Amino acid sequence: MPLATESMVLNMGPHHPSTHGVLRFILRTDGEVIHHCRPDIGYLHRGLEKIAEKVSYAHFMPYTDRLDYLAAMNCNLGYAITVERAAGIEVPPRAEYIRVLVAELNRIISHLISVGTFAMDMGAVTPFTHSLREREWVNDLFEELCGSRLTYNYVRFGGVALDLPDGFLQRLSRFLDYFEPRLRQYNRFISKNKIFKERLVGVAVISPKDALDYKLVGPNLRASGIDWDLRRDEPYSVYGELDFDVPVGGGAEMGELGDCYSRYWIRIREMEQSVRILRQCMEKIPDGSHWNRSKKKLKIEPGEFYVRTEAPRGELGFYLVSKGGLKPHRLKIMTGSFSAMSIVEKVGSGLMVADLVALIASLDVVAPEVDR
Amino acid sequence: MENLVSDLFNKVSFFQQIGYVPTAAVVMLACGLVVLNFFGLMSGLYTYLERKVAGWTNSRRGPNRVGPYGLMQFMADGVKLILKEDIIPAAADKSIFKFAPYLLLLGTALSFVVIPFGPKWIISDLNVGVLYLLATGSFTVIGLILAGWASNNKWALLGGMRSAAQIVSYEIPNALAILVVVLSTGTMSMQSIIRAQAGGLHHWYLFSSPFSFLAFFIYFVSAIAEINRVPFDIPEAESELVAGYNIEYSAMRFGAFFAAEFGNIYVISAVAVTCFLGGWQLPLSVDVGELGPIGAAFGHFLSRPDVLMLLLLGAVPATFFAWKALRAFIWDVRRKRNFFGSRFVRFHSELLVLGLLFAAGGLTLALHLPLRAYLPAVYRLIFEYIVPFLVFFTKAMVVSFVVLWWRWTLPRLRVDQLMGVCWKYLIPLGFFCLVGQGFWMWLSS
Amino acid sequence: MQKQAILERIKRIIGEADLQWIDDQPGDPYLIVGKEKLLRLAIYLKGDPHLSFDTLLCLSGVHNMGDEDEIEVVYHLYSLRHRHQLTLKVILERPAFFPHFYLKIDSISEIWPAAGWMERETYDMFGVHFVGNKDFRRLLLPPDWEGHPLQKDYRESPVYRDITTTREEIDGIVVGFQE
Repeated sequence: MPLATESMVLNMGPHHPSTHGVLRFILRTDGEVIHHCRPDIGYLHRGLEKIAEKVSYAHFMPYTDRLDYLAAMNCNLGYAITVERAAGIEVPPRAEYIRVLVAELNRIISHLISVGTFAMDMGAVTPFTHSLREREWVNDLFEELCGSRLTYNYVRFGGVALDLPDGFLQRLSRFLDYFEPRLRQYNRFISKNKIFKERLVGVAVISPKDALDYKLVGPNLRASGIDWDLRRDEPYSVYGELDFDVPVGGGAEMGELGDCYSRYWIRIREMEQSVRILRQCMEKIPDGSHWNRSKKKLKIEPGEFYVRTEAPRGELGFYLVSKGGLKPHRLKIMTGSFSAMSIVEKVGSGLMVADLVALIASLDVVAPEVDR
Repeated sequence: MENLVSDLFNKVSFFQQIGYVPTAAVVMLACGLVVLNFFGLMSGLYTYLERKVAGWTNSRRGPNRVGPYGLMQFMADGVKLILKEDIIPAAADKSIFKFAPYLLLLGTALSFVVIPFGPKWIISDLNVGVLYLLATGSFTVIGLILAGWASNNKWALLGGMRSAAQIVSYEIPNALAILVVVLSTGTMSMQSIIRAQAGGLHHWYLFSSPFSFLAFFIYFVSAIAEINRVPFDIPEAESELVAGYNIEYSAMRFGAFFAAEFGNIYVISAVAVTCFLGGWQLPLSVDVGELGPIGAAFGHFLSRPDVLMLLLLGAVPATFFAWKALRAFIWDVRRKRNFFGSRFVRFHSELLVLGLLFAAGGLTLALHLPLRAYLPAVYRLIFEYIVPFLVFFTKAMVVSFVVLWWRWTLPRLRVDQLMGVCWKYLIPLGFFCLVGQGFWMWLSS
Repeated sequence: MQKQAILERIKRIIGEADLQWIDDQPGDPYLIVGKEKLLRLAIYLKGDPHLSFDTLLCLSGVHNMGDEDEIEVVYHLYSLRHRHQLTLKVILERPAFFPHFYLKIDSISEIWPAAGWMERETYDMFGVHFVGNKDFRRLLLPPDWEGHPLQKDYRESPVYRDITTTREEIDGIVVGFQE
């Protein structure tokens, strides 16, 4: 009698160590090989878009912190730029530099978490604690700046809430001096690790065409070899005046184009570039006002705006429809993690369970950003 | 143990009255108690050590609240595990579910029977000791696969299947590597294997031939794979299988899995020490009696291969420790700290321990001859029991430290890569070593 | 390509009927397309080498409940090759009776696969059916949820699976969960 085999349905999540928050995957597997992988999201759906229609423009700012709690500054910034463009608010130059400063700092710590959890999903625990140690330092800096360590609510329409405290730039520079060698240490420690590379190189390859079709953004898109960065190509704030490179996948030190390792490596390289941007910002930052504050209640003329900014997880798009009045008529938030999750079903099929973990970690999906 | 039974039977009148078989039973019971307690204590200490090593590598403190240096942490954990509710899933296969962790524990505890602690200290020096060890090691896989199956959980099942595939595969290179040693000694008894490595560092199988040198690393890697430690911990891969085979276990049954896992670390370190690192033998075959006058001794001393090798091997850590000690000392002197407030004492307690060890070593060497002459009983106690035990234990701890260190440093392999490492690299290399060792023996004879 | 040039090219390809270019308000101008023409236009927009809109940035809905009750489906397109952007809009009326019969539109998920999930989300939030989406279910909300929350007249049902969704208020302060 021939042996009959049947596929097994595995429920991965929503409480699973490597689903970073509450994501769920329904896997149909043959032993360890996944035949079909169906993501199930919505466990962190908090109705941010509905809330936006109920509260005034300024009151929605704290909610953007919760959009992506690992990169709250970038979400603040994206929303603020959207509203400023819609309302025609001018931002003083000092505030622009402070914004870029905090956004890049937040990009660094967001990538640190990404890299650390990536290593932890591959079974190496130590890089995670080390990256958290570095993140603590930045959290302390942010606490000094705005009083909170995770959800900052720091950016305001027309500037930032508080000016830099005394000696902040010196302490920031001390952090950068400490951080740059650490990055090389990470490379020795985990990026160049033989097992780590074996696990990731050539795994879950996303072709440039797929990346475009599924609208991957940010580091995930660049890992697939598409040279596109909003900060350079459609500069907002003061990014046009700064000099930095955009790391793109492919090349000698990467793995295969668009595989998990290049997505990892792009993030490491982006941290280096963020340090470069930070150093330039610290040099160029002018004196002056930090907030072009208006006493009037913010009203926006009827119109439609779609504004994109480059958050750590890629483009963060706000589609703002105003019909006049104090509240948005509609605020649609388009995030990087959302499109990253939508490609999992296509790429995830045919991988092994352990590779799926690598894929999710390499896409750097953050659950609240997917569900909003 | 056999000696102990006959000694007691022949010398103590009480035991002569109760007869030989009851005597044997009493001794067996006592030995079992001692071994089980040693095993429990060791796995407890390993949980502590593991957390401390994790703390060092992760740049944090590790346990430091319960007891001095957090040493009592494992006791507190044990009490907690015993007091917790033992949950058995409704859909589990109850009897197997209950039984599986003890099977695992049994396998580990049985291994302690043939593990030597000194030239005289061993429960039973079986003439098939190594074979016995390989057999008890396989108990683990039955326990794991039963636990995975009985939990009625797909993740647990996957973990159980992974461990079955892994352990069964890795037993082959494991056995091949030990076979290299058996081939050279011609015996499977643990004590005889150790005695065959007498005469100093260069007689240990790690250094005695290039093939057994390679065999040591084959053994080490496959043994780590057999006890499911990182980088081969795929049966309980946390980020993939949540917790693998023990996902449904709680309370002391869960504790039993961990006791077995940590006990296994001692077992594999002890076997590595026995087979490749000279067991309870000192790295120098110091017979102080033959040293003669000190001036003459030094010339003789430095020409010996074991001394040279030890100096060579010891140079790196010695430089490291000396550098650390010097820096701490300078730091203290600059800040004019007193002894107990000094960095030297507070942060480098390992230096103090090393210093104490050296002092104790020097003292024993100095007292060596007078002791042998005037207090032969104390001499025998020290040189046949305490020193060999300490030597064995230290070596085992060094090996275990490497196991724990890897756990917190390396990422994990994927299932197919794990099998690839075994079948494509370790097994062919194992056969190569076996043949090569035969060739080497033929050459050197 | 400039917006006007894009518009000219679109008109040349699919004709001027059913197209309406709105650029009289602040912000991004947009093109209103009849829903019958959407799929054809989408194929051209992606395939035409001079337009080649390779990325679908955003697909969303907007519910207007002013004089007439209508739901707009908005497509933000971007071309990485030519670096130009286009906003398309399809307006669906939402009558009081049998609204689901009218809220139907062709799916573009075959052209831009990214649209697959965005369409599901738009269905989830606005109740717009996308005909031709292969995996058409609710995305964020549970499958047995009633109503579409981002419609302006949405009232959540007080109980979902015996779990209350509202809280009792006394003088504007939430005091506890309702039975």
